[in-house]
Amino acid sequence: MVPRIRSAPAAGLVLLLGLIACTNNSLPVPSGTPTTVTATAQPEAATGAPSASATVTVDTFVPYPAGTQTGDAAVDDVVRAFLGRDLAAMRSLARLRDVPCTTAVDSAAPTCPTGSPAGSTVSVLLGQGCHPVFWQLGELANALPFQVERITLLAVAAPKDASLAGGHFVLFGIQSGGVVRGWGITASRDGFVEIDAGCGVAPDVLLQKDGRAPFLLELRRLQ
Amino acid sequence: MRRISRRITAVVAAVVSLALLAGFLPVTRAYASTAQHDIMIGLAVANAYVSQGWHSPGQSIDLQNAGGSTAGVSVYSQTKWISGDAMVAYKASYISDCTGIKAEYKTGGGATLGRTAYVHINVSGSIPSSWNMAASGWTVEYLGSVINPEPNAPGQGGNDNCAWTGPHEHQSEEVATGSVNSGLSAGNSYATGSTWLVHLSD
Repeated sequence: MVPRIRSAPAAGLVLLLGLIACTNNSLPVPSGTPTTVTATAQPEAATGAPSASATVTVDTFVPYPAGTQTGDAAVDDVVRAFLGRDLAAMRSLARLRDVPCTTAVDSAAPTCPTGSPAGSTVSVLLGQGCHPVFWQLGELANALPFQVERITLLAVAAPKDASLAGGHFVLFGIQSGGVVRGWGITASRDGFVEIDAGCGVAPDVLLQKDGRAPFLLELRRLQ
Repeated sequence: MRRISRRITAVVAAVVSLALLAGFLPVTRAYASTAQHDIMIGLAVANAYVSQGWHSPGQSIDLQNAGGSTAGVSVYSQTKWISGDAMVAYKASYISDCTGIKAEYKTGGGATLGRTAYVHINVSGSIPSSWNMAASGWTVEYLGSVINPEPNAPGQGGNDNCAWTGPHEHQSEEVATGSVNSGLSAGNSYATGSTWLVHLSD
């Protein structure tokens, strides 16, 4: 709470100026020009050119029906939990890794819990996206896209990352605002070890980044 | 004599009252005002896509243009007055490892209420050292545009402390007094005109 000293004439003047300001409905238009302005409504949005490869419509790929068996029980467990938006099941399937943490701000390493010194070990799930993120188990609700309109299974492939050999890259489509984007989970033999939020790319782009043949389920395009 | 004095006193009181009502005389009054402003999404688009929900370091969120390309989109310090007094935003510091800028929000009395780091943006060279967060409507201050590629990322010859794999605005919030919007979910898009990230309050 900040005490303020004001005078009645000053308040009247502010009121008058406010009334004048309210009559001016012109909005600042962010144009890249450095400027300081005060607006009475949100500044007009920039119009970015649509990116053809960034997103796809809901009909571009053919999802596999819920209940589809991949032939790998561990993968099926992960798929069932993810499609069912079952946070508790996802927590039980998450396979964390122990890595040293940091107390530095804006570092690429996981942040130490309050009170823990730099270099102490934390158990985290590796997340990819627009940059790596280290998710602690308690943060998994923030990591998973369980509030989107629709989640579908699109493909299951081998992981491109050789260190994840033996696992499977599971590609999902997440639909929000009528747009489908790719979302990936790397399943291990008894759970999953990594998630990839995709940085907003289309499913086929994410599959190209994280997956490779052989496929348990191939990505199917609508003919 | 006493009657005259009373009359004079009454007349003076009446004149003073009228003057006060008319606003001609300054009336100083101290009162406690709660300033409340919202820190909004910096990306200048109609709808922002949350590619990664709140995560460390600090309280960070990754935002993209839900309706098209994110690269080159303007980024503003966008704040919205809710109630009470104006605040002041300061150009706090440049982000050391990646490309970005930090803004700090203070009350008129100088108390720091929070900071926002706008990361992976091509920082404008014309950001003022401070700007007033008005006690009405929106206040916007141009900070730069979403950079692509991030020159400080390891793959671009940068450093290991600047992880980056695609164009986005990484908005990181420190809140001294207030709250972060925990209702934002990864994979969803939100209207930038109505979606707050941080509610600052003194």
